[in-house]
Amino acid sequence: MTSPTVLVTGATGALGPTVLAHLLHRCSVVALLRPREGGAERRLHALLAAVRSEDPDAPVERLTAVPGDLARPGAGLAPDERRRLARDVTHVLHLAADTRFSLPLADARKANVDTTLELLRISEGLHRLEGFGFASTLYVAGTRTGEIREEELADTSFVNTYEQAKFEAERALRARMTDLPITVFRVATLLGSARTGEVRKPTAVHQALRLYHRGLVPMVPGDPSHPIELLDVEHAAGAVAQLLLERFAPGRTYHLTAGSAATLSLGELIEQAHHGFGGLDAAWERRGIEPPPVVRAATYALFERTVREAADPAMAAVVRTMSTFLPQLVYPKRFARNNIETALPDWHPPPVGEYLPRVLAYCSRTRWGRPAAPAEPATMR
Amino acid sequence: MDDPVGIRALSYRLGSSEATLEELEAEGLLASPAELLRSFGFDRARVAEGDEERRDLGRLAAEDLLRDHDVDPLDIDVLILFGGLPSEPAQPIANGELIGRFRYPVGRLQHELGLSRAGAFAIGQQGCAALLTALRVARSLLAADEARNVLCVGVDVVPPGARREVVYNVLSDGACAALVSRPWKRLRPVAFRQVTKGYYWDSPARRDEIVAAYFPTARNVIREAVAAAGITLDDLSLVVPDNVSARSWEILLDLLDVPEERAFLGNAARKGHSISADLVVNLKDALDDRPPEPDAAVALFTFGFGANWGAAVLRA
Repeated sequence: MTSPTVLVTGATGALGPTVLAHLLHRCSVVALLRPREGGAERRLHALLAAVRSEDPDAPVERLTAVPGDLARPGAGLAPDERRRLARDVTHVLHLAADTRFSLPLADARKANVDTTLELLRISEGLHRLEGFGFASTLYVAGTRTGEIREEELADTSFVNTYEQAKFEAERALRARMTDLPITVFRVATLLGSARTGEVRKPTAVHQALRLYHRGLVPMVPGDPSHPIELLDVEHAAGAVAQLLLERFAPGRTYHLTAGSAATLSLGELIEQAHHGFGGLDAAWERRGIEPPPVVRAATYALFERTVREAADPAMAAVVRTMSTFLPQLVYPKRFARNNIETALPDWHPPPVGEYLPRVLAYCSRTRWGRPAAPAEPATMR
Repeated sequence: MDDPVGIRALSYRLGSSEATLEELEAEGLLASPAELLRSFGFDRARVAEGDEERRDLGRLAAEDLLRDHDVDPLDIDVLILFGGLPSEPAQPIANGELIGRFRYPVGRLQHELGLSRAGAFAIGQQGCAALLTALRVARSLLAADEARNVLCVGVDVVPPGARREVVYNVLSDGACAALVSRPWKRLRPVAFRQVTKGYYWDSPARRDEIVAAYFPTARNVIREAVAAAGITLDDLSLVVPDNVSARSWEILLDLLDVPEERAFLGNAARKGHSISADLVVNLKDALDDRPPEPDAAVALFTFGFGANWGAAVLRA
């Protein structure tokens, strides 16, 4: 029996290199890389470097790449490439997503729903397919509140187009669970590496922290006692790799959250970030930036409306950015963890407060962006 | 020194003519559309007419106080002049002589009011928060038995040619006077809280950060002043605001969880933002309009560029 081969999309994203570092110890990986500017080869070099930085011992010789773009029919794969995938691939891991919250809905659907459907069509032709893993988000729950169970995907409204598009993609996948071996990983917001603090792809939470660091966040809507679901990349990646290859359960959905003991509340996150910024930089401390108060939704809405009416360009830009995700904070949820606890009883992500300082230090050091990965030679498959 | 210190008398003068938002807009004196400023709670500005009124607004406010409350000018021990704007433009240096710079409005005011016994000094660089600083200094002088009557006079007149709008606030010309005495049992200042954040000293450069810092700092300063007074926000009978945008007060009261009915709102529309005189304008009008019970708690709050957040709690 040949070893498994996993076709991975979104390998260069926030989770990709860390997942690959886990997978490569267990199987071969084919990364579907979009032929973007700079060339797929260059992207593969960067990916190899990123995987090695995650795990110097990862057997990267098991990693190959194929150029493909899920926005095109058949991902634009060459016929021989498609045949090879059909013959070799045992698992598909769909990590690719456009996580921008401010995209028009049509674009968000194109990037997150249509691509998923295209990958499903490709997967139908994979002769050895054993499992299809889909990285979703906790926030397919949209504006629902209270307990969110793993197996349900109830109709709701959404705070941004990303949530809606991921909801629609997940719904499309769930409709195929009867005839394809599909599992869904609803991943919490990735804060960064618990080990190094590295943030590969800044997300909404990093944008919020950046604005906070710049002293531009006057208030935050929500309830200070409600948990903010953050997760370290290592545990997210480890769980995805294990659930896909070792504990695969078709039709199962997992909430990959840190769990209540490891999670910070909104108030704690604001306070700990404040201490973190101050500890990193005495000059920041001297500015006297106050932690933003956590306010009722109506208060925040009034502030937001005032800024919009005033049309002050800088503050309006800040509010525009914040308003794509902050409203989620007024819809408190508890995400059930039955499936993950049953499947991986020893999976215990570290407390967020433990590695938050490292993430803040990384963000501060890199000015809230990621330094370019060093290029090195490699070949496309 | 157990004698109570209290605010014995208040008066104010605003510019004698009025200009509507539309008139100000037509004259190019607003940065924002009149319609927007109206939605933020403004309606008109009070404008001092002619050089004489512009120069004498502070004296007129102080004379009103002395006359209406039958105060002998010779009973004033200390005169404190304050303002958010420099009260007179700096004189050019002629022939290298600096003497032209030594022309102090506080001396002129002391002389014109006949306060011959009063030591006089000025408080500046506090923006709109200058009144609270003046009151705090007055209370300290009185509590230290260095004076029995301290007259605080504030004046702000918008320079000719300047816009009558700063960050969505419509500016009026105004002056005020507050007589702080010992012993005096009414309107006793029981707590002050001032936070100065020098990082924001360059107001134009830090404008966006100031906007963001305004609400959290304001909330904290008011809470701290109230706590220092040994009461809670629920104990406040009256909140006296400054006359900045009504919208910002709506948000701030929401942040504090203080019902709007307890704040004396509405003067921004009628009288505009008279920079450092606002709190006297509004305190006096509030006391006339809805006199609080004796000993009721009254909170004052204002923000001044510089940046200064100031709050006080009085016992009526």
